[in-house]
Amino acid sequence: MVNSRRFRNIVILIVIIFLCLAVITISFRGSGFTERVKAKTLDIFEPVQEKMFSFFNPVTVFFTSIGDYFGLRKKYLELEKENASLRQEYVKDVSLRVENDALRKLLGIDIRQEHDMLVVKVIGFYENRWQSEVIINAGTSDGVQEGMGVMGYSGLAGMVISAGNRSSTVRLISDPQSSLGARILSSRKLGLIEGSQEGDIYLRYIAPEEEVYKGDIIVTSEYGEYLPPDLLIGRVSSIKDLPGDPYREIIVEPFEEFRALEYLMVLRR
Amino acid sequence: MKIINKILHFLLLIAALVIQITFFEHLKMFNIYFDLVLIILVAVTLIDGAFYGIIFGFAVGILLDLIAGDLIGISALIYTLDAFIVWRLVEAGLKYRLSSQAVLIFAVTETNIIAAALIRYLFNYGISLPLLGVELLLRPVFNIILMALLYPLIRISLRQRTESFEFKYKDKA
Repeated sequence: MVNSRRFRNIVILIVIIFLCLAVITISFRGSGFTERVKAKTLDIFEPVQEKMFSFFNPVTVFFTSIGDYFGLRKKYLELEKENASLRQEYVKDVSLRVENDALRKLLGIDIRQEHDMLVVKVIGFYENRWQSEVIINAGTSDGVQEGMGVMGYSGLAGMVISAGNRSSTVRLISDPQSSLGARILSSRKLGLIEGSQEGDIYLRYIAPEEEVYKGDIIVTSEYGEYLPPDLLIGRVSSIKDLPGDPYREIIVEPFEEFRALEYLMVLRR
Repeated sequence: MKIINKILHFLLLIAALVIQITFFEHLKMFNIYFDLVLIILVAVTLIDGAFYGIIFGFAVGILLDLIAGDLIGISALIYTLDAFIVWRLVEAGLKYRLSSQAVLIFAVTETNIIAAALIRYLFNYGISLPLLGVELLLRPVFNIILMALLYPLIRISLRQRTESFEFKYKDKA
């Protein structure tokens, strides 16, 4: 009796291992069927996830607050300084915008469009060394499609990679599989923003002779397939020239705080 | 009644999956690594036997990958292996004590981490060895803490099973 049960368990195990390897291979090669099943599963779990996320949110906010508390004074002073400089920039920007719109009209070029944004709630989070993703409570029924950019209040958060009927998965820019076209705002040099297993965000393909400084703002480029240009990504926090490497190692500190994601905005085309 | 218990245990695993995604995954941002699904799966395997542990591990793993994974099937394979390891360790004579459970959780957590890294490596994903080392050290500790918090609750609700555990398990396996 014991031996037959043992044999049964081993047979089941072997069958399941082969099944898993087959599923992994099909998923790795990319399949419309697996994407559809994924979308349906997201939709089934969305109502429960949303309720549970709201239930646990006070606890996660508590943990975030503990971390934030110790840097509050320093952050306040930095924000005051930034605010004062931004007020001055705003006045200049308004006149430049008016001038820009008038020139575009004169030359017959389309006026710059504002983005159509949909505010969504984060209902799930999944992170390991190879993935950094969030689940949002909007899907194809709300006009969300794969490839749409997702912003937080401070900057770019990521991109929609899978859209179900009522929920979608967003790959964050810190995900090691994330790769976006980017520009240095001041010098207009093109590069590629990539995530990493450590959680750092790198700006790749900037040669040592190109001008880049700590504090430079990074925005999305116009050559990306999916994202509109000039979306804020982050600020250069570290620059290193590595011996034997044709490009600089540039780390970008994102404007968006990924620890405290609660609401995001999907950029609908 | 037995079938109802099995169904309840499976639903408990599903609940653990939802809590994992909505709460415990968020804590990883603060370097706190709890794997609630793993702990509950080990408990279910100990109580219901290897057969149900393997099946439930596969099902929950597939669901986890469908909801939040990029490669579907990795978590299913890993959780199936976890159930197998629990079965083999108990068959080898591991008793139902807190210290033994800590060894069990340590073994399956390390297997999880190494298996996930190996499978990703085979499918051409990069591996950071320093990060792997840190995970191998930290994650078992957090899982053992979670196990120590949860197992008394499971024992209270399943007192009848755990009293005759040592005699019942060998039959179920």
